[in-house]
Amino acid sequence: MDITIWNLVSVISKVFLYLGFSFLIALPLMYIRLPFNREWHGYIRRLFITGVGMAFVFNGVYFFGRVGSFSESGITGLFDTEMISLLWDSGVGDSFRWRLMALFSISVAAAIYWFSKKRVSIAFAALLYLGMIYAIGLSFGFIGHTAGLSGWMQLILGVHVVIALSWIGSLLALRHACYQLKVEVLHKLMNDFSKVAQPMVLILVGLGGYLVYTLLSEPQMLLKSAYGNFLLTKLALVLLLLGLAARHKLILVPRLECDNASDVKDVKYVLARSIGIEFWLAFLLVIVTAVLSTVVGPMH
Amino acid sequence: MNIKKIVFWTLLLVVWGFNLDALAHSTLSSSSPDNGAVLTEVPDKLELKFKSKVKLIKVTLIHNQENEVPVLLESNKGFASSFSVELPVLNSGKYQVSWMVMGKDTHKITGDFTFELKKK
Repeated sequence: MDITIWNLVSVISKVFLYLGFSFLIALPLMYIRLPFNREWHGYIRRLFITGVGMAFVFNGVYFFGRVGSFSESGITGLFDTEMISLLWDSGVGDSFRWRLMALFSISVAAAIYWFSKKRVSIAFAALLYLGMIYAIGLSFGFIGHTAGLSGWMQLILGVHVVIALSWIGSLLALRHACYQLKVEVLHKLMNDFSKVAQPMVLILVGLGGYLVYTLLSEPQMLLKSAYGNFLLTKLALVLLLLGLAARHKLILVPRLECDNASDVKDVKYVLARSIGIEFWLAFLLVIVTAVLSTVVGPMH
Repeated sequence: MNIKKIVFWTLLLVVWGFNLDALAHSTLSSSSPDNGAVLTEVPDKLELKFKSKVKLIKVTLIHNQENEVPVLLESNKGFASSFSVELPVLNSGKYQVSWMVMGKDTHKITGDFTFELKKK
């Protein structure tokens, strides 16, 4: 029973850590993309700060959760100094430190951006933002099933993760945009997002497929092993998400251009609801991924 | 049922309902003494061989399901596929060996086996 409680801690902390990171990667780009709108930018700012707090807290929860799991001495195991030292020197510690650096980097970048409008400061903030992306991507290579594989595989995983997180992290902001932004601005935002998302999704799916191909020794493992079954669940969710994204791009967003104001209002509402569903499906995908990388594995 | 409830119940069922840890990672490939072995000579070492490189975290030895026999692990923290652990002088009886290792992916892997010592 003790083991499953620590698994639960690991999975929950990963889910919220990933969600926090997704906000940190996606929101700064959306924040600077549009002309200032008090409501919408205020919402983005609150979501961003929530993301920083969530990532900071759950980075610690994940590390100490692993300490507790290895210590096997109940709640007091969280403070087992021998296990803290052991995990600090392992991939768990490396990942924890890189994630802390990412959080420090983005916090400084946000502070610079909000308090200084000088061109040099903004360029430095952008550099720190890129540093955060590098640190987040790298941190995934120390734990999970690509740990111990080549640097090339870890680079592929890092890029795959960063693209996936940027997609998930933008959904709540897009949903809120449907309620807050004027239709012309919303239309432009959706079109811009779609232009960036299309090649990114191709890269995301391509790299994901390559990772699966490399990690699974034989295709039959997709059906035979728990790891394969979770991968199929993940694939089904990805297909659902792609279906929803296609519906937004091909059906709903073009309807924003119609002349009837009441129809446009309806379309904005339907689009907001549909993006909301997309967010919850993406959240489910994050849960499946957290389970996949915590309690089952290709070597199991 | 709305999607928030589906997400919540999926999380709960997946993580709590199924004990997926039972599907262990890289497991023990062999040990000396072997699982279920009956020995007449007192072993001075415990040898553990794993299918891939792991970090040995903990070994506990229980005598006749009651007393823990102290086992000293070397402070070598590196990854290896085989480990040799010095044993104190053992008395006759049944022993259970429980081990815990960390895989390269930092996952915890545990297992146990038993042997019996019948001194001549």
